Amino acid sequence: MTKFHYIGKPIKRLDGFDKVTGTAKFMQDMEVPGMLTGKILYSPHAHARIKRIITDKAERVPGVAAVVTHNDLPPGIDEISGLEPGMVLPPTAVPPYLFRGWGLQPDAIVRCMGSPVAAVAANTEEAATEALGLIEVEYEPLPAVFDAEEALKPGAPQLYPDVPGNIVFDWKQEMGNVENGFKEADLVFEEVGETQPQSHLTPDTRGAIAWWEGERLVICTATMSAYPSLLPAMAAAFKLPESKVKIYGPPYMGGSYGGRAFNEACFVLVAVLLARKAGRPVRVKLTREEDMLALTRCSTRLHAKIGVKRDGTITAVEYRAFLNPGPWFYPPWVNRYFTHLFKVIKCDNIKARATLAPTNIPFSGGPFRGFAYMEAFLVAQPILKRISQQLGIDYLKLLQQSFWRTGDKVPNGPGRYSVLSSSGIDEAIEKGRQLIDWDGPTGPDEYIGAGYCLPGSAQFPSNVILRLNRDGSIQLETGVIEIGAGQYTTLTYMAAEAIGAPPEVINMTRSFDTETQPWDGGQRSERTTYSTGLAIVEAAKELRQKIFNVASKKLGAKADELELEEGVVFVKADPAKKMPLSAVGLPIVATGAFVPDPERPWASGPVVSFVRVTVDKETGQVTPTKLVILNDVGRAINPPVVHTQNMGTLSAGIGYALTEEVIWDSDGRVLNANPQFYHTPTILDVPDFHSEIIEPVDQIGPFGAKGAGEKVLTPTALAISAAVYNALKTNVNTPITPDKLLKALRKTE
Amino acid sequence: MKQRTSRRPTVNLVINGNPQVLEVGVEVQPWHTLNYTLREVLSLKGTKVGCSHGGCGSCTVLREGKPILSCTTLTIECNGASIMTIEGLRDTSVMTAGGMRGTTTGNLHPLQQAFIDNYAFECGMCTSGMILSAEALLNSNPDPTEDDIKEALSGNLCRCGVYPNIVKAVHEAAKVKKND
Repeated sequence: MTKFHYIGKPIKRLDGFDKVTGTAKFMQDMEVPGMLTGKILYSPHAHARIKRIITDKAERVPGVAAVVTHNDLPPGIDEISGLEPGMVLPPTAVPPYLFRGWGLQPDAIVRCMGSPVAAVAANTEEAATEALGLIEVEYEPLPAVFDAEEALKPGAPQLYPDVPGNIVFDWKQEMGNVENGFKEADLVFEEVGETQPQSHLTPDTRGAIAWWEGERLVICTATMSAYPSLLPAMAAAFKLPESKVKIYGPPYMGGSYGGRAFNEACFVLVAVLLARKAGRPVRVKLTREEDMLALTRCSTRLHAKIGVKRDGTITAVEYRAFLNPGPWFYPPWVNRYFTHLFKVIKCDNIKARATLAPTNIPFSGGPFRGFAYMEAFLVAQPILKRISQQLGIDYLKLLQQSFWRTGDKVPNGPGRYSVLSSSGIDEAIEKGRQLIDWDGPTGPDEYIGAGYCLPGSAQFPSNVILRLNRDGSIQLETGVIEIGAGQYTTLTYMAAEAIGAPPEVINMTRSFDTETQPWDGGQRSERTTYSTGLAIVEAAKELRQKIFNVASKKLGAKADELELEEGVVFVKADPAKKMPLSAVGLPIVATGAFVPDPERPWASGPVVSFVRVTVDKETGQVTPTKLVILNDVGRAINPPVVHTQNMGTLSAGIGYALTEEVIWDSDGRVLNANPQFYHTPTILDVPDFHSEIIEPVDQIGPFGAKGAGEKVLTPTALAISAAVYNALKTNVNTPITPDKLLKALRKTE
Repeated sequence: MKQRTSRRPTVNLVINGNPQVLEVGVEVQPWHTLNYTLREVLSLKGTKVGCSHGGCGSCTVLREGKPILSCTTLTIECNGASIMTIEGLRDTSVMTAGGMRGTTTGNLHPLQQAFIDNYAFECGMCTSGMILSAEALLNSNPDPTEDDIKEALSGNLCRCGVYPNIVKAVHEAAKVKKND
């Protein structure tokens, strides 16, 4: 086994001091001299045309500096596509227009309740709020639709004139021959399942400060994807080169979970427009309610049909999916969703069709600790549960048929495959089976379940700069923001390991800045450790080479005869000939890059959750009593942080399975946009749990590391849902609340 | 402290041991929450704002040693009260220069140290409130059971979900405090 100096053991987090002392700065703590407060007026209708909007009275309120409406939008904004390089969509799809759906719309139509209609910037929050109340809007309400299947029916309310029939896309694909596959089957199982919108409920709400310096636009906001998404969006909106748009983040992000990957552009735009009109910096900070209405996880319905032989062999799979994202959609999500459908159950004959129809539900369709895994994985695994019961085959054996193993060609995008570089799935299942005591006895009303997921990965570039200072200390520059998963610590220690210098002398620049920090693909899809890590390894190689070139003269040896360890350069053959990094005496700069290559094997780690729950058939209450997580992360750079990610993500998984759901009424009004009424797990709701790190040898990632963080949510919710299936012998859609459970129970009895 | 000559009513607070006199109508309005006063008037940004409805606990501060939600407490209600925020926990009187090896950071409170040592945070937004709720618990119950800890912290949401590490950290800090 490779010996490491710094990584692979417990490392205290570098952000610890800032966070326990309250000195950590989040978006809510950011200020700019002379900034005004921006407030947004929202639509009270789910679907309506703005006939008239009068702002005179609002503009006359003392302290008000600017009022903006859809009339202030830059021309052509609704034609800006959010398609990122390398992203594949079906040819018939309507382009993924970035600014459509939520936010000010140039056609003056609001398409969900809680979509912005106007905004005010003023000296004080009081003045801005007063002015909002004085904006007169005359609406012509339009018929609304809240369900994707309903939206596709003839005569349904139409959302966009250039999207006939509400079909943004209708994607069909077949692998093998499904018709023959079903003929070979002895039994055919069908199930319909739904995924509910889940609110990210990020501890800090969305916020942005924007201002103009002549033709230069400056934005401060906490986003997961400044470079790939927000920067091109803002540049395109105001017809500026990307070099004239500076976007920087606060040192820390107050939670993201996918909620900061999308919809940032629509919301930041409001601050930018206000700042342009006011000629001063403007801060827009959403309230909790506003934030909960701005984005949730997608609402989907999936019909699944599986053909199976009596020995458990799966012969055919057919999926029919309806995606309901609210008024518009995040294009990469669709791409990943379709990819995952082909991955959930391994079979030679798979056919899938997914139709996306915009509706007037609150804005949805964002990633949530997993890029569409939950939505794709949710229904198929309960069917396996049924098959296992009917055929008397162990559930884990059935599940194992669908595992992807080292060297397998895994579907990775429509018609594309990637070779899986390593997989610890068999070790994970074996360990988990023992830890949960799968074959052991269960208590009264106790049931066991298991869930599995193989995540995808967002393939985006990363660049890194390393600078050696003359005192031997090193600056690590990336476009990475700490979203809470320990990025600053992990990347600093990886740099230390790759360079051969103590982590104490390395400083990683806090947060991204598109003006001064190199391009990074964003803190999403478990890509930072992997992609930015690989860029660090490459930059370290270059830095070492440059150090050796200088040191070779001073040590009287050739550059390739030198080594650098723990901050000391020495001659390999004669370690007594040495010098500290400070003796290099020259400032040195080195760069490294990660460039995605679809031909390269793919490092992705499967994850398995096992759970024991009790089901109270009197009250309908489901209580997890024990949870076991087994997470293949390739190599854990900082093991305690992987365990922390495991426990954190499983908490959101419990919430998804049992309590969390955004509820709206028949007018499309959200009824629980507040943590008091939207129930996420508290400290009382997390059961006894065991987290296990699986580390198969992987040759692809930096030091063998793969992603770790978000993938635990999906299998945890699946495991709970499978355990409940065991109890009821029928599927209950998540969240499995007592009322739903009792209803299902009555049906089966 | 500067002399006040105006006849305006004042709100008198002792914040982390420092007396503060706020003139009503100038520095504090009758509708200002304690959260607003701490963050926007006194620039004590360590107290966070999460939901402004008393639903998440991230704005927790201590009034006379008891945890309160600063987002649903009016500043004028606190006249005469002693308030402790996260900024008041660290002992900065021991600061010395010294870079890596010395301390330029002051002595951390046992709870602060235990939260670092037990990885009891991720994004860190709930941490100030979580630590202050725990401090109130340890002051009234120096030897809490796991259930006591969970009960005391049940009003503080951690959306990153690192609850088990938080329980461990509070246990550890209790031990350290007892031995002090």
